[in-house]
Amino acid sequence: MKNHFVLMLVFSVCTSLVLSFIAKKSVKERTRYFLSLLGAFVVLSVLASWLMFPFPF
Amino acid sequence: MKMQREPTAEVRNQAESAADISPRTVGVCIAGALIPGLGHAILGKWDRALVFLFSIACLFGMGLYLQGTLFSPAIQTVTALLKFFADAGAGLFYWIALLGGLGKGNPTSYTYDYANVFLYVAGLLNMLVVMDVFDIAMGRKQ
Repeated sequence: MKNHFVLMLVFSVCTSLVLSFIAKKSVKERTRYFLSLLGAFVVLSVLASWLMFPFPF
Repeated sequence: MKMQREPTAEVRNQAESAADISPRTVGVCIAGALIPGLGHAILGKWDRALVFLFSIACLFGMGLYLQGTLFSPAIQTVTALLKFFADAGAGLFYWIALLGGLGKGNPTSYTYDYANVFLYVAGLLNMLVVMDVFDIAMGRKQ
């Protein structure tokens, strides 16, 4: 498994799961927080990579 | 003349709760630091325990699989010290892997940087998990 996007997804899912279980109590709150965190991880990572694409290093 | 201020209610509460740390609280924190989620399991929080164990084991295992480096306690620089602390936060996973000869790392690997981030984050998340179990054991959180 060397696909960077898949690795980023695995990382995001595991990290978001732990943080949502630490930060929230109810299932509904945890689900919302998990999805928000996961979305933020994925969208911001893709955005950052897109912004860095023209850099020569 | 120097006026001595009365301690605020918050400071008093902190001092009182520091005195209330029981051996059981220390025990669950140590258990959680050694094996992610074990502290929560001892306190009966099985859902959290399983999620923490699965997620941190997954991150740590992926870090090793992707050829990341486990930084040993033989510290050369400040950054190496910080990396060691981050890695060692994973508890027994770190020590078993290190003593088992895993985590040599391959800097030429395509996924080396990713792998190191997986290993650091596994350790750092376990530190957060230990703080969470401390709060639960102290009755500050359910």
